[in-house]
Amino acid sequence: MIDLVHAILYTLVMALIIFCCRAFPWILQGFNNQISRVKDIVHRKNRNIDNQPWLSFVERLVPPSVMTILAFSSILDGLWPGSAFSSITAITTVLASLVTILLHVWKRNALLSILGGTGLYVLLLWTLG
Amino acid sequence: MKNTIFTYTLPVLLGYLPLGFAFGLLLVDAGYPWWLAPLMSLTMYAGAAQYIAVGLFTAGASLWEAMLITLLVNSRHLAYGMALFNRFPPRSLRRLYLIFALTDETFALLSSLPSPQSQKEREAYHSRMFWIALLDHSYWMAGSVLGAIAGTMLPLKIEGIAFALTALFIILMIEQIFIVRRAYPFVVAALLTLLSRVFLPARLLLPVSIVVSLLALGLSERYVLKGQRSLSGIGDTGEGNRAGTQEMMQHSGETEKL
Repeated sequence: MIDLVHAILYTLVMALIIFCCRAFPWILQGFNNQISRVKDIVHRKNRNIDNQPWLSFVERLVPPSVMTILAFSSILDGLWPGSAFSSITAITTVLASLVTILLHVWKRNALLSILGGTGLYVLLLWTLG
Repeated sequence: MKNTIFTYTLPVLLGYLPLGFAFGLLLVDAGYPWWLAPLMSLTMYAGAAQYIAVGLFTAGASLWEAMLITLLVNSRHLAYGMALFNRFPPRSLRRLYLIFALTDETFALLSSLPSPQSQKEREAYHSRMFWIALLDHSYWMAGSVLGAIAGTMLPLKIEGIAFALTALFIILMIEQIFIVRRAYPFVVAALLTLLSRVFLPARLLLPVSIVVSLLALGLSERYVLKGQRSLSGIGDTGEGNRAGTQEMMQHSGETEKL
């Protein structure tokens, strides 16, 4: 666990990164305006932010793979917490994950799926543990 | 006008209060003072990233690890700004705040606002956008303060509440499955996560599996799936990219995810 001073430092750095993600198109525009002033004279090309293939790669491949990795790694953490295998946390994790998936596919309501899955997890830990 | 904006943001209030509450509770449970919760909600203001931050803090992650994961988790926000690029007001403090406050929910509300027809309507439209963003932010702040204070006052530790984080990731993944509708990025990422978990120390799990799966997906796009209409649109015309982005936008706007 990191101490409070570091936690505040991490918070500010992460906040800056999140802001840059949200401000990216505006940052890119500012950057492109500088470049295109020079390049337009030479190439007469229209630089549109929508036509950049690597940006499309980031948009379409990063979210699915990152979300899958986060979901699977936290489920696996529940199955093998630390080094010791615990059958109780394994069972509760599997059941609560299944309920979360089913609730979400059924209703597609984020709040309902999170509360339903977490509620079941807490209840199962309480009754089994 | 304020009243109609309040009713418009009501679904976000219902979502942000309990989720912010759970975040505050989680942070205090991890051993941090209650005021760190509103500080994080004020400066970061991102659901998934704040939950992940609690995990990174307790695991004693390095700053580089925290930066990489924040960047990857929030990369979806690149698309939100692009979708609203022309609808936002001209350069001003108000626009700066709107960009800062562009969460998934605020994006969903802003992108479904009817566009202004005249120059006169434009000003009202921009001020409506600003108030929606400000209200949403205040709900998130209120939820996290209440949760953090409840966490310090209640002596009991609610065991298992951290599963909320797992549940959040599961639903974000399902939303991605609905948007992408293609199995292979998910299968590749899931298999690589499993392999990393078995062969690597836990600290390296996230950065390694993220980097390796992006490399694998990028290479397979480039060389294996070149003939087909590829997922990332590499090799497509600009028009194809544009259509794909808009399709994704519509899906993001329809669903209520974090």
